[in-house]
Amino acid sequence: MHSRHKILVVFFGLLTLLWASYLFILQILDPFHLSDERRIRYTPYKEILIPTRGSIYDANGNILVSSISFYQLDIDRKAVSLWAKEQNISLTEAYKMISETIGKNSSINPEQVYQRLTINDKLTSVQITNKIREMELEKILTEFEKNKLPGLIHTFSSMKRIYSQDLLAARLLGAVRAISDGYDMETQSRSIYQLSGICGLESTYNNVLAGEYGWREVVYDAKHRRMPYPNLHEKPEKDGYNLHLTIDANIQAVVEHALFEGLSKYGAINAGAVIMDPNTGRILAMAGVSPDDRNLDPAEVRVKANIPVSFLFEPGSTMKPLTMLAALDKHLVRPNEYFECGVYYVQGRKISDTHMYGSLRPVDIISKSSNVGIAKIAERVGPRNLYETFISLGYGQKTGLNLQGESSGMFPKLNNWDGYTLHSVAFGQGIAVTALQHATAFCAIANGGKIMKPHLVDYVTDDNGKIIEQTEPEVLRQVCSKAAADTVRSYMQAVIDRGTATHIKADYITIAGKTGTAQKAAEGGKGYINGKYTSVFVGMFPADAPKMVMVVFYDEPSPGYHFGSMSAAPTFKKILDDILFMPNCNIVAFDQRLLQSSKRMPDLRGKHIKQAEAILNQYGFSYKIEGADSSSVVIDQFPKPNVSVDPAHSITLKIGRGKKETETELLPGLMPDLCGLTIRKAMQVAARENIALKIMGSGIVRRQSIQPGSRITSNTTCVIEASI
Amino acid sequence: MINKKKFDFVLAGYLIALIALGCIITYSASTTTIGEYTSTQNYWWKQIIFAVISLLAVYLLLKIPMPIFELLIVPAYILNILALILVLFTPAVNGAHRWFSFLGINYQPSESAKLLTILVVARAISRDNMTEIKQIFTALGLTIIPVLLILIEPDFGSTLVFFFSLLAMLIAAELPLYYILLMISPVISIITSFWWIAIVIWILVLVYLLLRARLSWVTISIASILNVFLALITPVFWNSLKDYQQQRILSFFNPMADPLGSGYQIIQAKIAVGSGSIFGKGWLGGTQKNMHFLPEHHTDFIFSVIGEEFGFVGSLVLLGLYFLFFSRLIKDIGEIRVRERRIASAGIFAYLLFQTFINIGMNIGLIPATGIPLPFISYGGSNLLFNSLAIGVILKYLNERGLMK
Repeated sequence: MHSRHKILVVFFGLLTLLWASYLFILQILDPFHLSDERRIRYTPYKEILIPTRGSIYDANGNILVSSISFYQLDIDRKAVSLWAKEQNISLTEAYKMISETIGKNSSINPEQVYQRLTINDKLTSVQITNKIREMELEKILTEFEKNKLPGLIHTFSSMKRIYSQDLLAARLLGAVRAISDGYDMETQSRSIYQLSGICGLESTYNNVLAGEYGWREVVYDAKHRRMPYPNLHEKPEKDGYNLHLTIDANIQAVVEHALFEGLSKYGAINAGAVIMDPNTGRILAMAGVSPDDRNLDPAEVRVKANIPVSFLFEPGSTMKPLTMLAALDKHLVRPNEYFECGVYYVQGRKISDTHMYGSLRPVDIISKSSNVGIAKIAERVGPRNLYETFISLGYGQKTGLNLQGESSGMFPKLNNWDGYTLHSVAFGQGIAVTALQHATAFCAIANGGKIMKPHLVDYVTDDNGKIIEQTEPEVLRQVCSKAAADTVRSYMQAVIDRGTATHIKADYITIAGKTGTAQKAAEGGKGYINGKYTSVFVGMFPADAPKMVMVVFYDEPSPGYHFGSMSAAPTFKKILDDILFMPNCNIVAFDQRLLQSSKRMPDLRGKHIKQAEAILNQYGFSYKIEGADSSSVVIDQFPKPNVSVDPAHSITLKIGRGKKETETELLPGLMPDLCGLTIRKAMQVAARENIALKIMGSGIVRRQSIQPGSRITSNTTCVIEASI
Repeated sequence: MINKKKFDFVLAGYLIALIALGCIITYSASTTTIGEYTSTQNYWWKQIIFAVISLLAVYLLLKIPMPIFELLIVPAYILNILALILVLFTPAVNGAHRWFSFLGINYQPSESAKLLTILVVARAISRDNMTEIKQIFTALGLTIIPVLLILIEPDFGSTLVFFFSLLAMLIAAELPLYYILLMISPVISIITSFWWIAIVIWILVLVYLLLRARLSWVTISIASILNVFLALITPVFWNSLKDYQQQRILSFFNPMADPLGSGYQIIQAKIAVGSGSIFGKGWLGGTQKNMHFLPEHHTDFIFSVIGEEFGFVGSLVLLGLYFLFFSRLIKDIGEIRVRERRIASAGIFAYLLFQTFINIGMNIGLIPATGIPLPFISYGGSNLLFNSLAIGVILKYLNERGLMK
């Protein structure tokens, strides 16, 4: 063999040997533990599936609260640049195509997208938005798929509650708070996101509404595409159940409107009303309002106390029928017996009536509201009997509604009664009740002595509409004989027919009711505040077989309106009328008079004010307009469309900014919670939301001027205080 | 025209076996299988078409009469140089001007340039009455023209092949070995310049080898001084580079330093081969490939697919096939008696050997990524065609042996 030949042979042989031995090391000895990689490549990644929070419906199936999910949209600029090279187009062109595609299919401005894409020139992922809706996202996804555009990454970002009826039943429904525990600022990822109820029904039924998390195993390839790997495990998320309330949104709206109107008319600081169906315990409306509710941010109203279950007031004279009930049930008074009224001294205290009536029969003690008369009857009943009757009527304890924030009222224990307590409690002093307690108790008078368990949730459905849980009417106890209850009801009818509330008498329906006026008890100590009253009215209709029991009260109405008959009673009547005039109301058959004098209310919402005025004039309605002068679009009307109305009845139009404007107003985000963050992180978070920060101090943020969760518009300034 | 007694059926058999194996592996490389889901790209049947075309081209080459073939070499080389110039004016694909594309066929003139340069250099240096110096400079001159043009494209990886086959041809041309030593000494000087002890040892070895070759003191001194100077100037040059330039060069030699950038491919290929273990993950079962972690797995990194799916056993079978193939080539070269043809054959041998081992070395993480495909196996028309034609040339030489001189 030639010598040069040998060089080739040796060289080639060495190379082969070297390569083969390195292969041996790599594949058999495996010093780098590369054989594990196979398992690692297919190791699935667990993706959390976030359930949608359940919706809340009213009794007619109208949606009150629902959820909407937002997604975060990122663009992987590395993938885009690779794609651009492949397609032989410049990066700028690729960015333009992407921003146009996003812009065309969503409300995001394409120029803004382009700006985000070209930010700081690096080829990293960049966030486009975190507030894109599911529908828009789907459109963008299909468009990207269709045009084979690269780089789109979407992840769940947040969920928001949508209140379709705006402020309606705001305090009853309550509010939610977004909890993003495990939020890591560095990686900007969150492990589990949830909306949690903080008050009202949202909190009481949080477990029902929240649903259950699911997860899904996914395998991504190197280009972060999901691979159809077989046998991946999955546990689907369980969306929250829907609540179907007993609340009738139409009645609720009528009640709230009447209360707001009353508040401004009577100058009260709070008002509340509860309407219950005495035969089933269904709560048809539960409203509590303060005058500034309409001016505040809805989010702020939602976290306020639910007045009908939490606000305590002395029921005053409205307790008298219940005292009478105790006496009648035990046959301690005869209906034709006369009681000497006027002035009565008990242990040196003077009890007096507003008018001197002389001797009165039990029916007139109720209808004329005689303190002396009822005090004397109470003496016959005796402390133990009265105490037991009131306890069994539900005072001094929770009603069983189990709503968050419910108060059990104040009713002194029998051991603590002094000589006067018996008399004062008999006409509603020295006892504090909630509107709900009161309504529950009077349901017993309406239905023949049965205490019904009040309930707000009619049934619970899953997201397919299947009923999961149905609330059945439940009789908690029988408190008295049917005869006694019916007798008391007839006495209460006398209040309307010839007593203290004759001015609300209607010739188309029989009403039983009782007015009440109570001085407000001084907080903490004994005694009463001069000039501060609670005016109450309890009513039921039709009187012979009541279908609804209503409690209305005003807190601190201005002098003159402080009597139950002057403020609470007219509001009761107005609500009653509005309910009876509803087209689907079957409480009274419309008699000829009603049909002739009532007209159907046209739908004016969304119309220009001039248009609305023209329509109303054509029908011959009288109307008044509420709202800012600058606005021109009808956003609400009263009564609601299709309600039959009496033309003499004034119509209220609420005007505001047009729908488009209100929508843009809704778009900006919520104020993030900055407390506990370092200044630097707070600034990062604020910059993302476009909030200007004014920083005081240094270290960790302790306080912020805008509360977390408040709605913010762009360019808001928030002052933060920090300390180390 | 095929002389059945002289035709090397064994070499032709190895060639066909390698090409067939290439088609099979390309099928796997163009398939993504995950569970029930399978998607196949069209590379594999394109490769089969290329294979048929290549074998037909080899057959035609064997049919052409030898005088006509010899006459065609120089004009073809000149045309190829023109093509290399023209290709610079084509639109850039992935930032490089490498391909002519017409009728859906992509032709890469740098592939044909490799084979034609070998043939032309062999022709030039095998002429009579040439001094050794003249041989070296003629060979260098003929090589440097296409190399420069290819560097402009730019395609750095391909140009290395030229120098390697040039060295092989000079060795085959029976040039004294010290010329070879002198030619490669600057490269070694630059490499050793990073450690002063290595410089000293290297210079001593160089001087000793040159002394043994009985060169004049003047030559030895000049060579040593030049090499020392080069070794000393390199750090200065290195320090004058900008940070990112240094980084780029460093990560070329040490891919692990930049695992997500230039080192990504090498690392993923190494993972693929290493995770194959003894018997591999089975036909179509490569996870690195299926999950797209392995880039370019139908071209430059096709060996990783073999390593991953057939393990050590499969890799060794392929390596063994190459071993048999190259051994046969060495044996055949020994039988070629015509000087020009022997030199050309040595060049072709070195050209294929270099590509094979550089590519496999790159796949197992021994050598930086250079963009050189695996001969006969990797997907690619031009590459397969000219590699096959190179073997065709050797087959043709063997067929003609014993007729001249």
